[in-house]
Amino acid sequence: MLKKLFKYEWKAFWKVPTAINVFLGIMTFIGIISLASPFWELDIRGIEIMLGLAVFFYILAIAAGSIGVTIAITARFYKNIYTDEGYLTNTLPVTARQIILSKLFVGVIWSFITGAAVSISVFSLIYTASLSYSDVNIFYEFWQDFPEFLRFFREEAKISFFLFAFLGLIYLILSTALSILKLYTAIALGQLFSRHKVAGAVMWYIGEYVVFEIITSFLRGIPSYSNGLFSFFFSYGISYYNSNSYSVLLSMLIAIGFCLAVCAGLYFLTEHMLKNRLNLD
Amino acid sequence: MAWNLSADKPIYSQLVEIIQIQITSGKYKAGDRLPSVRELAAEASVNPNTMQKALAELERNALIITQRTSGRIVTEDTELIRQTQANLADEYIKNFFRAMKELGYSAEDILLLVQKTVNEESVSSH
Amino acid sequence: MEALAVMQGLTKVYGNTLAVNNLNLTIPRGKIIGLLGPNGSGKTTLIKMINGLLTPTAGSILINGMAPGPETKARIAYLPERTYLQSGMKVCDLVDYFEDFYADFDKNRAFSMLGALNIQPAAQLKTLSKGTKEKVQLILVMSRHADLFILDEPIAGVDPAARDYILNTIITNYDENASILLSTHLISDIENILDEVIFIRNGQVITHMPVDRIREEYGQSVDAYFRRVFAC
Repeated sequence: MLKKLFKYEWKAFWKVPTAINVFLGIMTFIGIISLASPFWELDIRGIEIMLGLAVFFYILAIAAGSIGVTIAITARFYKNIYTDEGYLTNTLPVTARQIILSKLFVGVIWSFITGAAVSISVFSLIYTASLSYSDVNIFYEFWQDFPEFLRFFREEAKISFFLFAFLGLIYLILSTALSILKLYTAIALGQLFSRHKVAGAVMWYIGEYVVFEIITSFLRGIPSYSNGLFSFFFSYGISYYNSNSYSVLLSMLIAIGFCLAVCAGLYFLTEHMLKNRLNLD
Repeated sequence: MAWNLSADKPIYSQLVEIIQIQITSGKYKAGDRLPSVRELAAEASVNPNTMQKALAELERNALIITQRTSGRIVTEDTELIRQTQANLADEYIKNFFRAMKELGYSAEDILLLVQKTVNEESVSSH
Repeated sequence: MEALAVMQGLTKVYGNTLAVNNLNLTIPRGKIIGLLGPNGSGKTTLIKMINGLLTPTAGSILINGMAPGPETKARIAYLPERTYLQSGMKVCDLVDYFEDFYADFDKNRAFSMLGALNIQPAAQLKTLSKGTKEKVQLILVMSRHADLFILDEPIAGVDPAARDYILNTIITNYDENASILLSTHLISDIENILDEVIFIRNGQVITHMPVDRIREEYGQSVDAYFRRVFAC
């Protein structure tokens, strides 16, 4: 049943994020074409302002694309479970677990695809810019220095770069799942209100956000400066690398373990709400 | 077309009567096979269980016989069919007389009126 | 054979309102049952609890001896009073959807019913009228071989010809061990196809008896009897 749910979830959901990614691709393509012909060498008045605006709108488009995919994932969960569509979704002979997991899988995959698309877009723009502006092929240089980099990384961080990258990838997947589960849980808890359930969900999300900030700040011991778990993970790596009391490996494992535990907690809360506390209007 | 059922009498007794009429009027002749319960129910737009109950009643009266191989058939006892027809006629006439008496006619007046209707019908049909 | 569904002490509270109040009800097998009551009497709340869409405040529901869950949903075919179709799908996609999830779904029956009501399987759902969407949902639900069919206001929005077809479908399709629970306020339209009626008021069952017994005892149609019981 999970496979079938996944199949229909994919079919129902792929259009919006695909459109967003195609849009990002077109933006990137336009950017590459413009950067490949170094127009800033032209003597036009106000070229700096135009360039600044172009960069600004590009960043805006990327941000809007990523947020758009997240909103689409959230809206799909809400609409398919808690509105009229929920009359079918919740009367299928499937468990709450299968419903949540099928949506979570599709959500994580699309967040990941979009994240990758954004990274590739930024990288290819920087690559093109550096190539046409300074004739430095950063990709080639990096590739040339890669063995040296690996050796350096191993010596300094006391961990193989490939293991680091692998753990980093796992962490990235888990933190993507975590950010989606935070939204799912907020929507599910919003159903506890007898009216204004969407507003309730927003309140729960803000509540979750505050709690997470406090916890991560507390864990890092730097209450005033926090940017969520990702910086938590890196600051562990860096600060403990500096103090030499923890290895990079251990700090990564702690971050992964913490992320996994929070994911599990949020998941079970969402499942409980859907299985034992469902009240469709 | 759904069968014409009145609202204030039990449905199954009305079904019994309608099927009796269908048999006495020759829609289903002696020895004919009847449609299935489901088909009859759909034709009448009634619940199959109610139709089942009506057919069971007709079986009790022996007007319908269930055969293991060919389903339900109309009895071949033509005397019984005639008897059923006579019973129905008797009932209709009694109802008719009751209604006419309520209107204030005497038995003789009713007979005269009936005779008049018969004469008119025979004239208009010629 | 055990009863199809048993509800005991069933209660649902919304804020300060008591939608279903300590309700006891047994649904037998092989019957077409009308669930009748004025607006706000708790019909839809009851139906949603049987389908697991609402969590009871108190009391129990057992279907085939089990509390509402994936196993009972596999045996109940439910037609809600609203449209649950996802607009991005075609009619035939939905047929596949039902075929994939419900083991008791009969694809051929669905297509023959779509044909009888002149609905194109390739049509996009968003291009269909509200009435046609309702028909599609009803066809999907009636194409299952479920133990219990729960139809919430199935004939309210459709034209008389479609209504006759729907009633005919209900009569010819259902098998002896299945039951149909039909909620409606248009009693006179469906009265002849019912075995039993359940009258519900203020979240409680006030009458549960065979249609012919109402006619015998009160000399009235169920419709007339209903009007008398619920007279304002």
